[in-house]
Amino acid sequence: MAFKRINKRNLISNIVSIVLLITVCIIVNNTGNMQWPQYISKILIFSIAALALNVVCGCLGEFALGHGGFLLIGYTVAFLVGQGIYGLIGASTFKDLFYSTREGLQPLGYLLIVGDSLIAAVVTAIFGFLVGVIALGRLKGDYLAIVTLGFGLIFVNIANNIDFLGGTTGKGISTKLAGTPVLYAVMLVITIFLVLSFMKSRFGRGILACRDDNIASEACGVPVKKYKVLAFTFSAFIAGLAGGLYAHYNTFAPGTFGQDLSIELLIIVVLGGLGSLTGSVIASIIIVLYNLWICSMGWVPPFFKNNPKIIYGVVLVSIMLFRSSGILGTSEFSWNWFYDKVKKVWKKILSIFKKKAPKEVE
Amino acid sequence: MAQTVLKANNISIVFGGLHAVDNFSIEIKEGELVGLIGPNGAGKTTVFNMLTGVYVPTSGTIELRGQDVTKMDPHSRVKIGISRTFQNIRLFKRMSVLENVKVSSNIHMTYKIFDGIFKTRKYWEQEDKATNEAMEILKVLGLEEYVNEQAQNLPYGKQRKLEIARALASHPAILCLDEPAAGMNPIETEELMETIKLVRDKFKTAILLIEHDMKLVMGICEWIKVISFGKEIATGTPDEIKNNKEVITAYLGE
Repeated sequence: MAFKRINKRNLISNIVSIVLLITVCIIVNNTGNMQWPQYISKILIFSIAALALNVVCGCLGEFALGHGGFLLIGYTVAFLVGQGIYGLIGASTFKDLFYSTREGLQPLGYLLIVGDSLIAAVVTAIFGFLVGVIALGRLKGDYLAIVTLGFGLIFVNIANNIDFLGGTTGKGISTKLAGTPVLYAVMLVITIFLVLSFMKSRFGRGILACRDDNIASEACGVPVKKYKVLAFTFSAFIAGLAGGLYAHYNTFAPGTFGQDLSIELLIIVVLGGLGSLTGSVIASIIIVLYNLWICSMGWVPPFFKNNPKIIYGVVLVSIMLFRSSGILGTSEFSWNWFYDKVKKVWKKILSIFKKKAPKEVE
Repeated sequence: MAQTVLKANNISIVFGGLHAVDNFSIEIKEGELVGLIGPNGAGKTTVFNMLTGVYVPTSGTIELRGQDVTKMDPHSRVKIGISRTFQNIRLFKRMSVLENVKVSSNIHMTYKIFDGIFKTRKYWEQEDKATNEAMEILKVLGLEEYVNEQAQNLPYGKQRKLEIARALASHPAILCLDEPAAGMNPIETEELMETIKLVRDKFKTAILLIEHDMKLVMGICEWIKVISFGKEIATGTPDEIKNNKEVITAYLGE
């Protein structure tokens, strides 16, 4: 074979980084600090959601503004499944079986979170498929963006009007399980694997071809409409998964899944680099940390006390002006690339010293 | 007797009130190298678009390897055995050269999403086969050194060749080249002529090409069809076409 399948150094580095990530999560979870596990959970869930959006915006190259709606569907489904089980077995048994103790969740609790998130993902994928068939068959570009925005609004408003779901004010969930960062970290790693692997298959290749040129893809035997719907469905699946996980993180208020969330996800994706999955993860760390941490720590830039989000805007404008392709562009972060960079920098440092040495002699 | 690969019976297309192509017929047999020429705006590319499925003809039928494909989608026709290049290069710019070619191999792959995600043996078998095939095609066209380069970074002539390579990866019975020599200098054109001949001999595919460069058309085509204002005006060998009065009138005027 002309091409190596597995790069050993990369593989080992990836395993090491996964282990590191999980260790960090465990340590954070056990420090007793109440804030940080929450922050990290939110970062991880947002990373998953951003990956979902990146499949459509980066890989397929179509702008979708309604992914908040898909998260909402995932959230609702996971919530309903949780409530259903809660109603069936009664409060005390539920607590015994799943509920978090001081040491963490019961093992069955983890299973419940993963299980109902997966159900949520499948249901959301069905909705994604329907939206895809309706919207992607006929529209593209700006028109598609508006239609997905519309669908997002429809989902949010339907949920807002169902009293059972808590209406606009939301509802504290009695079945909320408070998933731990470790669980979310594992789910993120699985999601990254799923998406990367999917994009490396013939389906991913077809989707990338559609991004670059619809007419040429069609002429190469790629059924463009089918692949677009496939990408959209896959994206909805991941978004539903994120939504399902979010159900065990936060209080349910359908309003929080509106355009604000959709736009925030879009910002994360663009900031990280359209088409760069690892870029999305890095960008969601930055954005979520900014939103959560800086805002709640009380540090505000001078003169903008009432709305510290000013920096948000400034960062976006400057990134688009000076690095319009986002943090990572279309390339993925890989440890090989990182090592090469480090090596280059190291050599540069060495060469500076070597050049300086003879000068001193003179 | 060589078998008929592509057959168009009296196809016409009307855009509004304009008869862009009127009663055009053509029959191409296995391994033939055919030219389609005509003055600017004669309807050559429209014919191509009908043959490959971008437009559906208003009347008439198209047969591909004995199958009626008149109303079939472009991507389904590729499976039966037609592929094309474009007048203005349409590569997948941000994908690598190898990936560009492998997009066309997709139609020969049968593995499902599960195989794709979990990289089963079926995945590796089919992907490896496609990679090897793609490498072979790239080697024939002299692009093997650019395998991992992004398509948009290739020089113009190489991009043209890559389009041909991509079209070949779907194993077409007939390859349609839309002005392959557009924007090339005489030396590059000469090289392209060699390439087209090589492709025909090596991959045993019939070739239909639109071209303005008369040296190229007259040099390699076995027979030529001439259209003007959407109507067919002559068919014949290069020598016959060169001396055809109607053709000369169409190109130069009375």
